[in-house]
Amino acid sequence: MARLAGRKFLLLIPVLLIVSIATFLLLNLLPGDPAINILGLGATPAAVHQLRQQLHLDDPIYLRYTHWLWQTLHGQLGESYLNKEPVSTAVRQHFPVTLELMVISQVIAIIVSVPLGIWSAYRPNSWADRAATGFSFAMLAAPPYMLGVLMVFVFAVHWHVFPATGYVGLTQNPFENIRDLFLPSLTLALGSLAVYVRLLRAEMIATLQEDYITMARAKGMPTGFILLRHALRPSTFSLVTVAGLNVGTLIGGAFIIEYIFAIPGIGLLTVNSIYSRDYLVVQACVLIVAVGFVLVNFFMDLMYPLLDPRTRHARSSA
Amino acid sequence: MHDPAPERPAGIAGPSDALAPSATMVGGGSPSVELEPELLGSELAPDAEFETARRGLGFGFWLSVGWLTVIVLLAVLADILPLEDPNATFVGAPGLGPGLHHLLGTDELGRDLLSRVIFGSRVSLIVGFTSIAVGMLIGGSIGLAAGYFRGKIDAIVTGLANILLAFPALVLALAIVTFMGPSLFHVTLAISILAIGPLTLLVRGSTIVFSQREFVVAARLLGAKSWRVVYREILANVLPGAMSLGLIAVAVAIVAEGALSFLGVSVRTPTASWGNMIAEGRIVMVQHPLITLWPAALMFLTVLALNFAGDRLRAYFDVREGAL
Repeated sequence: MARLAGRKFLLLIPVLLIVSIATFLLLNLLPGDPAINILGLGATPAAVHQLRQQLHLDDPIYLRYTHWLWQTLHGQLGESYLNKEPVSTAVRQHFPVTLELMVISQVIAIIVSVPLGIWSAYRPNSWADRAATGFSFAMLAAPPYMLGVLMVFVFAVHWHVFPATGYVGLTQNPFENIRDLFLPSLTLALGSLAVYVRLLRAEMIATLQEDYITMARAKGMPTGFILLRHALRPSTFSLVTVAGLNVGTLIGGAFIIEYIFAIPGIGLLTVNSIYSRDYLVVQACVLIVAVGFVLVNFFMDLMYPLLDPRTRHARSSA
Repeated sequence: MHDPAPERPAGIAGPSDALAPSATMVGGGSPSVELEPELLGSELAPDAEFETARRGLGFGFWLSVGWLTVIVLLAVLADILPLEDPNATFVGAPGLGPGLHHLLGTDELGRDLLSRVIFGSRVSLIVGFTSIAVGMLIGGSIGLAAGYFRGKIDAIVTGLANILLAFPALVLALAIVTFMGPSLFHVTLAISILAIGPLTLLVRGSTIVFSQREFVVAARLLGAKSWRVVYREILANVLPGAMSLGLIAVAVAIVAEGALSFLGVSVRTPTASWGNMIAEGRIVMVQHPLITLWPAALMFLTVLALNFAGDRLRAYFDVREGAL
């Protein structure tokens, strides 16, 4: 198992390298001179020239890339052009907020979707199952910006239960922090929840038709025990895969939700930096987010052997 | 039902595979993304699935198609319908509720909301259908080639598609559109590029399945040229499934365009789109909630209809379960 993890880790390196190249190229090959983008159209040629020197824009592209990569690996992400703050500081401040938002939303999604999925699979076509399916379909058609705005309207403006915007740090006041993040997390959770319920239900229905389930029933085991101990674990493979992939969607959702609820996470930082054309901050955010996404999927991949003993041998998954 | 267990170890071969199982669509900012045909296939209980295939597409499908037809017709005919100019301000008093003169009311600037949602639907529909058509054409061709010829081409294509998928879609679209300048063309272009990755993997996946079927082997043994096998044997079988998932992809693209509009980087105001109407109405939501609710409702129903119709069609064309 350790050997398998090691080999997968070796495969990770080229993937990360290519992701870094793509991030670098994305913002460097797009039309327009970044120096002019930063300074605005009215910039004097001298100022443009100076900034190009400062950003090493006149070097050949591979030199710029290796230079940038080297700096990045040493945690030197440059300075924000807007407020001269080191980009790494900005990222370090904003990243945990987004992480907390995503973790809370996933906790909500899992807590709700697992019992719902199990019940739907246990009693397919019952009213509860139909309600869950209908709810999933509705949630899949309601993008986060729509849900977020409706949530603000119902819970913050109409009922005054939760604040509409704002954020208090976890270390400052944990209670207010959770209260501020609840509505955004719930908004983010609803989309994932719908997907998870459908996936778990589908796979669980298939599992419940396996012979060993019939065997367990024939032995007279209690239904709850069969559902939770026999059927649940083998039914979670696609849930694990999709939960990993879902991180990409979740990040997109988090961007929108942080924008709606004014939560100072990496999404708000990216969106604001894009508006103000703060080139290096955007580049750093895209890189962090993409690398995070790859790493999450790498760890999700390592979870399979824990879930399914059949994949524990290096040979079987080669 | 097929037994998922034996296929599992092959499906989790490496980190790159886990990044993108065969047909997953990672759409911008939207939760409606997972299009794994296998999983959607076992979505209904097996007996229900069987009945669907037998009985036809069902009432819900035709309801969805009806709604989509109405929306598309309204969008196409918007110019000749007796509508106010969507951008003309103060055609009525600001913030009117629904009434005889302005069926859906007016917004805070006194613009006719009915006209704005109908003209706004054009943006969503154009971006949604065009980008997926482009993505399907390019991604589909690449996927067919990769799935049929396998080998090195396949490895390169899959690798590239997986790297494309490693970027969160909305972030990529946001970056592309902002730096190229917000316009309908650039938004469509950005979403088309994003659609290529997942659509390639989707078509590649089903191509591989069909390439191993007997009728394809038979055609090859009879001496048919590669292009003929791909075109006549494989494409004909891959197409129905790809098209039904394409409908769901259109829904994802519409949601993605809405996200860009919402963030203000799609079509420029005052041109209406559902996304920017939701964003504009948000500011005056306390006084005039309807300004946000109309475009939200229209988008919700359209996306729901596309998802539902796509899902039904996929179940209808999927003959595997029906053969049991």
